[in-house]
Amino acid sequence: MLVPAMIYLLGMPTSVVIGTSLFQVVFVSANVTLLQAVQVGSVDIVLTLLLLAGGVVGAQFGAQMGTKLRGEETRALLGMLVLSVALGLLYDLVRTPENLFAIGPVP
Amino acid sequence: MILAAARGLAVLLALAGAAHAQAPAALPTPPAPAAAAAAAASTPQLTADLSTDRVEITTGFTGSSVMVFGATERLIGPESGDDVVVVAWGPPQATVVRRKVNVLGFWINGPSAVFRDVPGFYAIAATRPVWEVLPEDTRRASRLGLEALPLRASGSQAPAFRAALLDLRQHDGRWQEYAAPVTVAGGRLFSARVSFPDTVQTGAYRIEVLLVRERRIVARQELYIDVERVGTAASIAYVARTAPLVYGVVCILLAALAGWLGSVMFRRN
Repeated sequence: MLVPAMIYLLGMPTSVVIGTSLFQVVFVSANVTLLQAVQVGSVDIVLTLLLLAGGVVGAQFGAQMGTKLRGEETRALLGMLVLSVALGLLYDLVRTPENLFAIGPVP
Repeated sequence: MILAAARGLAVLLALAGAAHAQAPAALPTPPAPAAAAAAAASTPQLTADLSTDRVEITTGFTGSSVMVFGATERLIGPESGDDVVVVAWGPPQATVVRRKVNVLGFWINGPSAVFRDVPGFYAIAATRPVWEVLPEDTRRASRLGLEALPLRASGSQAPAFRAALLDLRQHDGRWQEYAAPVTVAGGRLFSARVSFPDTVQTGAYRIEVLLVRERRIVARQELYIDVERVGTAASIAYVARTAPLVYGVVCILLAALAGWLGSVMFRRN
């Protein structure tokens, strides 16, 4: 919601919007990581390091590609990404689950 | 792991040798009743051991298995009516079973049942299924077989939750019923494999070996095995448990470091 608001309401350039949004996400996720580690104790550092390797390299390629694309193209790609994720989530909610029952540890 | 298996095999072979050595000696002259009684009192009816006394969980752990083996005094099998049952227990793990319900076309979590006192791991293996060799009250008292486990729920009492728990736990390999056989060699030597899935909990596991004759448990032996984290996994878990704040800060610093490292490396290219 922050990204379209900055683009259409504040009229910021798309490349700046993506950077600003990610800058803000850094603090939110750092805070969540700390709270998760202290309260729940369920931060998997080995998994995180594996994900980091892909994320860091991907971010560099993404940033390089972003400088080559025009604002509208970036926006269209971002829009398609957001829409496909939303549709995927909606499909998971609507389709009949394979197993109606699920088990988990007691919190 | 290989060492442990070799150790198990060596003990099994030694037992096999002993069994063969005893058999011809007993045959020619049947001993007097008093001597036989004395022999029965001194030699245990059932002896069992494990191939290893601990399962080590490393960061690359993909499951493990332990061999339970031993020997009985009398022959095992349908002729003598003796059967061997092996049961493995993990530490208790409270489990919640949730059912999804359809609200306005969306599937969301609905009623749930909480099972407080259920084993986190349970495996039973036997030369014959326990319902064939033991009456129901004995099975319930010793909790032999998944049907004999007292699964009491708080919350929804519908039997479907109990069935779902049994089904899902068996599906993820944490509860096993006759998944592996108890194999008998030479009439008296038995062995069974207890397989732990990669989701196995740490803690003390108990393995019970029972000798069943004439619908009664005539001998039992309890063995213990420790499932524990070792190496890097153990130190990570230790820091996360004892100093969660430090652990959280280190995680964030590592992420920041990785991001910075990436930017430096790509700038040079």
